[in-house]
This record gives sequence, structure tokens and C-alpha cells, in this order.
Amino acid sequence: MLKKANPTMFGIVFFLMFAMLGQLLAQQTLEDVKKARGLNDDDVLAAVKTFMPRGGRDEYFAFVGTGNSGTMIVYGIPSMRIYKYVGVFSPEPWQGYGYDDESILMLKKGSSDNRIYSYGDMRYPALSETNGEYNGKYLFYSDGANSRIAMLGLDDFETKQVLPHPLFVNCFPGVAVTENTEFVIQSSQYPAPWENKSADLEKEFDSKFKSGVTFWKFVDPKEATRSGHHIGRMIKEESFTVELPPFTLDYFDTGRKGSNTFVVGLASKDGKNYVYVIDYSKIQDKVSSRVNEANVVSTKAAIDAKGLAMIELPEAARKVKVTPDGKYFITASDNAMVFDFDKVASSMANGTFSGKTAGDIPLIDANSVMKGKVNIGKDVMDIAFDYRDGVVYASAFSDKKIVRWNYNDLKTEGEVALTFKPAMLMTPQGMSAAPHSNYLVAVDKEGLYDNYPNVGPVRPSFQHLIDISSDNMRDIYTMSLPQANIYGSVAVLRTTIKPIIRYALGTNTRTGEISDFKTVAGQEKIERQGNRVHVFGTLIRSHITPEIVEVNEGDVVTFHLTNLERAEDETHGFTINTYGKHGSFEPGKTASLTFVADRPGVFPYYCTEFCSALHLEMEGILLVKPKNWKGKVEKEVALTKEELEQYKKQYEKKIEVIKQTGDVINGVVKFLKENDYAKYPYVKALVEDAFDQLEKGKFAKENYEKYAKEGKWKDAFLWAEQYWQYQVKTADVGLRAKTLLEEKLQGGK
Amino acid sequence: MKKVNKFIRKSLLVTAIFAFSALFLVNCGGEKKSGGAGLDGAPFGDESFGDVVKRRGLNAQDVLAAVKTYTPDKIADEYVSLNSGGQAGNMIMYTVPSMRMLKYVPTAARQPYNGYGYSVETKKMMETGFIDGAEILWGDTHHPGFSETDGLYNGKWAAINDKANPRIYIISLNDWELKQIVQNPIFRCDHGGCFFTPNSEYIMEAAQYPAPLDRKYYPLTEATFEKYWRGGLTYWKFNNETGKVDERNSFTFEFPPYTQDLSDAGKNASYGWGFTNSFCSEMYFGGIESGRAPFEAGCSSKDTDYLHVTNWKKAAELIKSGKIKTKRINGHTVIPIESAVKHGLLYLIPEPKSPHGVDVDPSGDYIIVAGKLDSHAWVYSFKKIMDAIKNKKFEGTDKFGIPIIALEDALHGSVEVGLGPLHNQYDDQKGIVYTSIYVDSRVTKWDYLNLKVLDYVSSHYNIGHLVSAHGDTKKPHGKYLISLDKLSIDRFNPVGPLHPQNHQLIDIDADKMRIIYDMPLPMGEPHYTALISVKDFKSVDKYDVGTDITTMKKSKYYTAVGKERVVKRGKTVEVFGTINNGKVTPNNISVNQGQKVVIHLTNHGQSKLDHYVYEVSAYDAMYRWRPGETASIEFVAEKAGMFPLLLDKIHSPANRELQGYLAVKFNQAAENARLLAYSKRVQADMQMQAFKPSAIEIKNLLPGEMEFLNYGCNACHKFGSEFNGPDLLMVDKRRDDKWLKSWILNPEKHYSEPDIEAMRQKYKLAMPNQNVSEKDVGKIIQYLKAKSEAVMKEMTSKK
Repeated sequence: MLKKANPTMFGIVFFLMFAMLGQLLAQQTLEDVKKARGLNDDDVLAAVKTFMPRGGRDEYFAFVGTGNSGTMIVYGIPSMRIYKYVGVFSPEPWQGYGYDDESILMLKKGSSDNRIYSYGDMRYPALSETNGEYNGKYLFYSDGANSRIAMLGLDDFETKQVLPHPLFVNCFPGVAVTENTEFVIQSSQYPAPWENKSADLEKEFDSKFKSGVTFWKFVDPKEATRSGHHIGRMIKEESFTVELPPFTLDYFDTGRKGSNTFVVGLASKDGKNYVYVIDYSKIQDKVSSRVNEANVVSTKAAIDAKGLAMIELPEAARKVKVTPDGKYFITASDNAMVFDFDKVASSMANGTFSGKTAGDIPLIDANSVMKGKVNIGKDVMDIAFDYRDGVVYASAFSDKKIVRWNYNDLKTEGEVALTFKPAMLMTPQGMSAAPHSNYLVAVDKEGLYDNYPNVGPVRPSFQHLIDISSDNMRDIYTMSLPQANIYGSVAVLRTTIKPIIRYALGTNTRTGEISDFKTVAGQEKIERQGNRVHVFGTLIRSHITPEIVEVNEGDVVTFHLTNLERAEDETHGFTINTYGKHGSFEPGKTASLTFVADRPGVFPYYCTEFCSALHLEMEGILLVKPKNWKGKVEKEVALTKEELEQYKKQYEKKIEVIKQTGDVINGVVKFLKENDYAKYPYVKALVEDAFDQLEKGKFAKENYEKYAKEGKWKDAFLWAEQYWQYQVKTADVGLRAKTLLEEKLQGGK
Repeated sequence: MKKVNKFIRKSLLVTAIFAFSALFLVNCGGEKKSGGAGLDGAPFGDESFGDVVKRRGLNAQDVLAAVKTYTPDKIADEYVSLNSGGQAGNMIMYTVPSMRMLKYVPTAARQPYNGYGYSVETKKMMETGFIDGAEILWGDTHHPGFSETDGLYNGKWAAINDKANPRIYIISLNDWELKQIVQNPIFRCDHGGCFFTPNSEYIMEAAQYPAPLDRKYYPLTEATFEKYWRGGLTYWKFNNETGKVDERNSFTFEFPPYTQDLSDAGKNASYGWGFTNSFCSEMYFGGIESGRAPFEAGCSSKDTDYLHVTNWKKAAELIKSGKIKTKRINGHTVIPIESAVKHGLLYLIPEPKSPHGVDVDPSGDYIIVAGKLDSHAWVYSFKKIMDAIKNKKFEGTDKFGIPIIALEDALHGSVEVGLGPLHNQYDDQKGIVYTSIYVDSRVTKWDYLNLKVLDYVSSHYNIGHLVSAHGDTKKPHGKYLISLDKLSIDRFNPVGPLHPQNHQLIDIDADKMRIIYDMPLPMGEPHYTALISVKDFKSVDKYDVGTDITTMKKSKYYTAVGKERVVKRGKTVEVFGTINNGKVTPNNISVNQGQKVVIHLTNHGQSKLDHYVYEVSAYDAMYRWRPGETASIEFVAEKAGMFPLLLDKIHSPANRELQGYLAVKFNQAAENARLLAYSKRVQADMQMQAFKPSAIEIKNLLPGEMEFLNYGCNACHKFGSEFNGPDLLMVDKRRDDKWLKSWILNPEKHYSEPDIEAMRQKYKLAMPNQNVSEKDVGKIIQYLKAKSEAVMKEMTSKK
């Protein structure tokens, strides 16, 4: 039974208050807006269910299978706002992914060719688990196009590992993990020979073409690296692949609780459809050979160990998913079939088979292990689970409906008619042992909307948020998702993921180690070894150190840069004009950009991320001196007496401004202190950053005082100016802190 | 600065009033609850409007904002916003008011979803943007603009510049795809573009960081900088009908090496003129590493910079008639400064320090400039500028001989709008302008005719640009304003150190501005946005069968159904195929290892659903075919084996389907070449990693020294001498470990202690909380001891 709430007194009172307020503020009322925009009461309810007030937090993080975009996308439920795109199998310049040395090196490890693949096809991600529940630490994707597997760390939402598959030419673009992420599982999709030789498609298909299921060993170390990161790794040497005859493999899932050592997946061959069942506990020590330096368990070894069987399906299925309790697995087919894991396990243990299929794989009679089936509708695409015991949803594509039913009693409980054809389904946490039950996301692959702006043939993908919190299921939001060929997703409770906001100073974010190229303030330098030039630099509001770099034509130059910022969201970017390299440097990160200075000339470099009021002044110049350059260096012009006098005046004027600005800062500081700013973490962080900025100005102050003493008025003036710039940055952050504090004092928005 | 003080006081008062009303709202809105999700995932049940509002902690303003932005399928969004993607090298589109992401239009970087950079045709397009032949696969797009007819958007084209690689990109609104890349042959960096003149006669693109226009090397000194470094402003001749930039009839004004920034074109009375601002008119360059003050100090040391006023109409006429002396640099026409001055084409006017936006008002009579380092926005009168020019009333010339019009002779007036004003956008009401205020993080609404501030609204945080609907045309729409915030700190669910940007939709229909939506921008960093009404453009959803979308002509590789064929020529295998009814013909392809494979496919599908991705497994070869498109993929069959050929129908839930196999027959020579290339690559990578930097501070560190450095303690403290803070020598003898730990972890707790207060007075600075972790504090204390001991030892041995 579903929980039902009655409209409360509160609602009515609120309405009255609301009407009063509308008048009080002498602006549009809710009714005015409804009328003007043509909204009805259901729309308003949907609006307030999905609208996120300023600064509010979404309940869930959702990670999208994005098809051939090769990029991870994370959005929030219920506001359906997209938070981030992260390069996984495709380069992504905003983050310097595939453009800085560290990420290029990582991607090269994911390629067994003399190049880096430039895209991937990733459709069904998986989140890491502990005891069958999401632990919020890692995210995995399979590349169905270029046969790779990738892992992202969710402490910083970056890709940490990409590996090539040693055997499969074509992978199924989905992954699943075992109950404690002991293994990450990937399968082939379309069969192919494993030995890099062509074969006769007609005559040699059964003898030379192969399929397989790979268990990538995953290790999540307890100890942090020196940078404080926990970086798990898939270990190729400890992984193994179960070899299968040339079946076309499709969607698969892992068991949990009682069925935790099982993998079930869809397979087809010669027009027949199957579910394959692998019990990895029986076969993980049965490695029979090594192919391409990968461990292989032969089909025969797997059968002999009672670890492999198949069930022939009476009708084709699009998905097979394991129920949250681990007791059953269900096929997404027009007549959804519920299979009992216990019965399957005992069939395999007792050798109760009805026959054999290709490769002598034993067949289990479907009816002997089936709990039952439920007719859903036409072209069932997917199923998703709920928090409520036995509740499952199924999408019927051609019937334009989603059906809620129960796998315990095999009865339908309700349905929602839709305006679109639903495909893949997702409930938050629905692929774990603890699904939640207020939201269901349904993918609309067709995306045919008369009222959506037509912006040319290439359209976004669409999905709908369905409110499943009550008996009355409703479609409450249509979300568009660009640059993604959308498939399955996974979502996790927001609080399960604990992202960091800055790196330990000098972190190589791909390895999680402190970079050898970390540079701290005052230690910037340029090192040369023949034609190899290493620039060790730092980034801080609003300058790059060093600012002028001169190299010779043909030098191989690397800029190793460290962002010294400790403040949240103070990212700097770096590029050298027309040299095609870009790095993104989040607070604390060290990354390197290598290029051959093969074109002589003058090349400005600059910060690409708008970081402060003087962001545009965060620049430098790379001079590339031509080979055999024979020009003459022109003499510097000396300052005239009048000019010097002018600078002195400017200096004195600036000192006055510095004093006044100091007063403004003190005023803000006073306000902050009087209002206990330290009680509010975000405000506190800002205030600390403001003090940091002032702190950095000390060096400039020393300089201007020194030069003033020496009568070098130009330098004195410029360094005074620099000190003032730090004051401006202090004021900038200080005022931001003040605004935020004022808001907090007003009540949180 | 006094004015700034006053401003802060005033803002405090306004804030207090606001705070009061907000408090009232909150009280009525019910108690605040964070999150709202049941942590256990239990269903909320059937909720009324009131239940939802209470559960989600919404106040009255939130509800209004929700219904103003929520857009169910039955109603249409009103505007489409076209943003620059910044360092993502693309253009970002979303809808208004629902603020839903719509599309990423690729420009500078490859994009697999779109297919850009993956087909032979789009790769060729990218190659037209390779500067000096260097493969450049990304860009830094900055300022999009829409083509205009009579000062209004004509819905035909959009253009955007690339700051990292001085290029401009032309996008057709017919299909929202890139149609042309134009390289600027004389700049090394641009920023102020793309701005269309009122009939799209020209697209303005200004240089940013100056560099020698001939792109040659000169040693850097103050003398050579003035002599050889130059800025500039390019007027690209544009054809509104074909959308083509005519490079031969384009020209560039040579500018002094001031760092030019944004531009805008005049309209109505100011038609024929262009306005470009600048910063760093000090012509300063930094060099922290050699003891010079950094760029940021020298580039903002003067109180004013220069607004560059150019007459493009007269310049074009003079060039056409050959009456002006121009020069050709790298094949491009340049008007030297002296020619421009001689013919009255170029003037300077002082403008507030380090300006960003220069924006001509809808009437064309006024130009507003906001300077980041000045709290005023300055309103220039075009009539006054013309009077000064007519009467030759100049206050002098700059070092390069350009006449300078005195500020008072050009100014209509100025208004104090806040700290760090950046950019201006206009309203449908006469005289109303909105200015983004960076440092104060707010939008100020003011009247530029009567010079008074009307309203402001706080943004979160640090707004850069802002945009109003059609706000840079002759007829702005008002209604919506979007604040492009540079930081989003606490606004959204945290997703790691790199935050999304925040775009805030502001309702400007009423007198009082209200923020009605906070939208995260998930990729890229938009610098500027242009908003166009959905009624003002019409796009196609398919192409005629056989179209090459980069040229919009019928492709010579068009293949009719039934005419599919494979042509083998030397080392190339060329496939002419079709996609028809969800099938690719031919299905199987057979080649020898080492051969080049070219596959031309024509998509005969004509429905909105007929979008296909065809891919060759494990060969990194794929493309997306739009309905009617003909395109090609090309690769060398470097490895032998059987590779599934797959077709994926994007707008269908079906799996990608096996079409056949690419059979690559083994060839020993080709295999050897492949293995050699691979092992060379691996060797090169290992060589790259072998480099270990020498003498970076990691070596010979005392225990805890790394932590001491990491937390920046060395910025203030030394051992054996005072620095910005007290001497740390023997500090462990003066304070016990417990106190030190508490002090390092939570210095603010100790601020009230008398000796701390005394030190604060002395050093004029309180020790900031450095966020030292519990784990590291012990190490730092250990270092304090070890270092003291080491220094003491050294001191005694010296004695």
C-alpha cells in the first residue's frame, strides 16, 4: 500500500498568506502568471516539485550513459539541472582532458596503438558498491566502440583510469560491479576472433569467432596517497575472462545478497535468445590459458566447474535485471519473466539441465526456474525497481505507458499514460540493494516535440521525470540533454558522495600522487637540458610566474604549472596562443603542457578561466627565437628627470589610495566580525581567502617600500600598484563574503 | 574612494530593508528544511501544493519563480540563448525561460555526438583553422554575435571569435552548424569579437594581447615593445546572403600596442562607426621572475585607458577608391596608424580604467563604457564626439599621433554603479540599461539619460557579462536578463574542485528585478551570450539527400540506392554506400592490412528520426549521418582482424546493429610497421616520464617541512628572523604542543588572547586559518621543533 497524505490545513493557510503577500509586494500573483503562461494546477504542482530554490541541493546525483559522446554527464534530481560533463573516452578541452600531459599519458595507457582513441560509446554506467549499496566513490564505464574500460573518482569527478580490453574487438557498452566491487564486469557484444587475424565469416564463424565476459579485478586501497586521495585501480594481471562461443551478448547484471556471485546477461545466436548465467565464485581460480597476456577461463573449464549455464528464453528480451533483494532476475520483455535465483543455482549445482547449446553449454529449462510472467504491453524496453517490496516498473515503448507491477505477486498495480514512447528507465539507487521511490526517469529516444525550439537536425536527447511517490504517477518534467545519445543512468543519494573542493598542493589528479613537477611560491624556475626546456611555474590571482619565457626554435618545451590557490572555485586555465595546448588548474592541481616550439615569434599566454577582476591581465609572453637569429638588441630608454618626478607623484597618490582602500576593507572586516561570520562555513572560507590575498600582498609592499627608499619611483609606483591589486582582490572576496553573510542573516537564501 | 565608502554604506541600508522583507517572507513560507529527500527513500505519498511547498522549504518568491520558468511540453520557450563555450571551444545553447540545455555547437574542438571532426568533410573544415599548419584541436570562444539587417537580428548567421587561436567561426542558423573558419593572419590573440555592423556589412574582431603583426620574433625590451608590438581591429567583410567572409575585401586598423578589448558597432546616427576599448594603454609588460612588477600592476596603473573610435564606412570607401595608403601584411590589408589619422578614421577618447564592455545604446546616440577598476559607468554622447571631431577640438595626441578627444568633450555623464562594472545591456524602455558589477556581484539597473541608479539585484557570484533579450539591437525586448556568473561556490550540489558556472535568469518585466532561476552551466565557461527570440529564426530538420553539410552542396560522393559499389585503387579501398531503411549497403568490407579505407555513405532517411551513427569497431572511425547527409570516414587499416561494422539509430531505443564485418587480411610488413610505431610511441612516453626535476624542494626535507610549505606557512614565518609574522625559532619552547595545535587548527579561537592581540597589532595581520588537517598539524609541529634545532645548531657552529 502506498502512503497517502491529505491536503493539510497548512496548505490552505499558505495559499491565503500567499495571496496577501502577492498584493503586499504589488507584483504579479501566482494566478496572474498561471493565466499569462497557460499553466494549470497540475503544472504548478509539477513546477514546485522540481524547481530548486537558490542555493538548494538536489536530492540525487544522476550519472548518464551518453552513448557515442564518450563523456560522463552528472545532473541533479528533481531539478534536472546538469552539473557537469567530464571527458572519459573523448577529449574535453574545458578540463584540459586529452590536452595536458597527465591526461594524455593516462589515455595512452588505454590504447594499444600508436595513438589515442578520440571517442567511445558508453551506455550503462555502474557505481561502486559496498554490501550491495552505493558507496559513492567510483563510477565505471565500458567503451563499446574502441573496447576500453574507464573508472572515475567521485571525490573530484575526474577520470582516473582507462584500460584497453586485451581480447575483445567490440564490447557491450555497459558495466556492472559485484556486491563489494571486487570485480567490474565487462562483456563483448558482437563476436570476433581474438588473435588479430581475419577469418572467413561463413566457414569459420563457429571455430574462430569468440565472445566473453571479463571480470576486472578492482582494488580500493585503504591507505590514501600522499595527496590524501583514495584511488582505486583495476588490475589487469588479476583479472580474467570467461571465453564463450560466438554469441552476441547484451545487457547483463550482477546478483546480490544470496545471489552475489552470479552474473546474468542476455545472449543470442542463430535467432535464439538466452540468458547466460555465470557463477564467478566457481571459476575465478580456473584460469586455463593466457591470450594477449590476459587470463582466460575456457568455456569447458567454466562448464566443468559448474559455473556456466544458459536459459533459453521463449521471447526476446531487452534487459535482464536482478531484483534489489537478490532473489530474482527479471527480463524486460513484453511478457516480463521473473526467474528464481535459488532454482537456477540448484539446477547448476545438481546438473538438472534440459540440453546443451553452442560450446556444449548446459541449458536450463526456462519453466523450471521461472517464478512466473506478467504481460506488460508492446515493446517493453526496460524495468526499474522501487523501495517498496516487490515493486517494479516497466516501459512499454509502443503503448506509450509505464506499468507499475509487483514481482512478488506478479500483479500490475497501475500505469501512467505518456505523451512519448518511453525507453530506458531509472529509479534513484534502483540498481543497488536499496532503491528509492519518489522519482522515475524515463528516456524519450525520439524527442518529437512541436513546441521545442527547432535548432537544426542535431537535437538533444530527452528524458522525463515521472513522479512515482503516490498511486497517481505523473510526468512532471521534460529534460533535454545535449551532446549525449542517452541510454541508461544510475543515481545515488546526494549525501553518499563526498567531493573535495581543493587538492593538496601539487596533486597530479590522474594518479592522485603529489606531482614531481609541483612548484611552490618562490621556487619557480626554468630548467634546460639541451633542447629540452622545463618551465616550473605557478598560478595565482592574477599572475602567472614566470611572465616572460624565451626559448629557441625547435626546443621541446614543457610548462609544469601549479595552482597555488586554496580558495574554492578559484580555477585557472592556461594556454599559449596558437600552440593548441590547454590545461585546467583547479586549486592545488599540478599539470604539464608539452609542445615543440617549432614556430619562431611572439606568443602571448594567458589564463583562460575568468578568475578575478584582473583576469585579463593574467598573461605572459613566450618568445621563440629563430634559429641563427642575427638581429640586434636595442637599447632601453632611460627615464627622464620629469618622468621620474611624475612617477614619484603617482606613487604618493597611490599610497593615499592604498590607505583609503585599507579603510574600506577594515569596514567590511568589522561588519563580518560583528556578525560572527565564522559561524557560516562558506562565509568563513571566503574571509580566509580574503586574508590570504592580503597576505600575498606583503611581498609587493616590501618591494614598494624598498624602491621608494632607493628613489626608484617607477618601480616603487608599480609595486604599490601591485599591492593595491591585492587589496582589490581582498575587497572582492570580502564583499562576496559580506553579501553571503547578509543573506545568511536574512534566512538562508 | 570616498564615493566607494558611501556606496557601501548605502548598500548596507538597502540590504537592511531587503533583509526585513525577506525575513517576513521566510516566516510566512514555513520552516526551512534542507534537502527534502527522505534519506531512506520512502515515498512522499500524495502531496498537495501546500505539502510540497512545506517539504521543499519554498517561499512565496520561489513559487512565483517556479511557475515563471516551468515550461511543460504544451507551451514553448520564448528565447534561445547562444553562448560561447570559452575553453571548451564550442558554443552552448539553452532555452529561456525554462533554462534547459539544448545544444553544444562544435566550433574549435571535435565533438563525437555531432560528428564534428570525425568525418573527412568536417576534418577538412577543421584544417582550414590550423594556424601556420599546426594541428589545433581546441579553442577559446568568447563573444557570439547574430547577423543583423537594419540593426535587428535577421535570424541567418551567428559568428564567434577564438581568443587562443585568432580565428572566427561562422554558424548558419538554418541548421546551427559551422560553415566557415576564418584565420586572422596578423594577430596572435583576439578577444573583442564578433560584433556585426547593423547590416552585417562587417564583423568586428579586435586583437587582445599585442604582438608583432608580421608574426616575427623581436627581442623584448620596452623600446622594441613600442616599436614592433601592435594591436588592431579587423573589419571582416561579410555577405549576409551567403554567410561568407570575404577575406580579400576585409581590412585591419593598425592600433598601438594597447591591449584592445571589446567592441561594438554604431547604429542610426553613429552608423558607419565602430567603438573599441582597451586596457594596458601603459604598454607595460611584466616579468615577476626578473624582478619586474607583474602585468597586473603595470597594466592598470593609469587612471584612464582609451576608447578607440573608428570610421569603417569611410575607410572601406577610401580603400575601394585607392585613395588611402595601406600595407599588406601576410596577405592582409592593413591601414597604418598614420594613414588612419591622416584621413580622420581613428580617434581616441579617455575611458575609465581597465574597461571591459563598450555598448552602443539602441538609438545609437550614446555609448556606455564600464571600467572594471572604476566604480562608474561612463556615458559618451556620439553627437559630442562628432562635434569635437568636426571642430578638431583635441586635447593632444598619443605617442603614435592619434588625436585624443578630451573626456569632458565627449561625455554625456557618469553614474556610480558599483565596484567593478563590466558590461551593459539595454531594455525596451527608453534610457534603461543594466550593468554587471563584478566585485560587488550585482546587476545595477540605471537610467543613462537622466544619470541615476534605479535598482539593483545581487548575483551569485562575480557576474561577468550579462545579456538581455535582443539587448544589443535597435529594439531590445526587455523581459529577461541573464547574469553570467563566474563563480558558483555554494549554489549547487558539489561536483569536485571544478565548479559549473552559474547563469541566473532575472525577470526584468517589473520595476524591481528578481532572480527567478539559477542554472548550472555544466561544461565550458561562457563569456558572453546572445539571446534570440524563437520567432526570429527558422531552421531545417533535414537536408536534401546527398548534401555535404559543410558546403551545403550536393556531395560528389552521393550514392543512390542500388548504386552502391566498392572501388579498389592501388593502396586505397573506396566504398560508396548508402544508409537506407536502417541498413547499410554494402554490409561487409574486405581489405588488406596497411590499406587506406574510405567509406562514403549517403543517408537516404528523411524523417527527424533518421539520425545514424556508423562505426568501425576498434578503429576509432565513426560519424553521425543526419537525414539526407552524405559524408565520409577514412582510416588506415593498420591492424588485422575482423571488426564489427555497426549502425546506431540515435533516435530509437534499438541497439546498435551489426551490419557486417570489416575483414583486414594479415600482412607481415604492415604488422611490423604497426608494432614498430607502437613501440616507438611507448619508448617516447617512457623517455618523457624519465625526467626528474632537479632541486625542486622535495629533496632533503625535514620531517613535516612539506606540510609547512604546503599550507603556505613560509609566506609569513621564518626561523631566526621576523618576517610578515613572528619568528618561529624555538617557538616550541615558548608554547606547548597542545596550544600550538589548537592555534594552527583554529587561530580565530585565540584572537582574544592578550598576547595574540598584541602580536596582531604589531604585524597588522591575524594569522589566517589555513585549513590544516588534524593529520598534518602534528607534522607541522614536528617540523617547528626539528627546524629550530637545526637552525640553533647552525648558529652555534658559526659562533
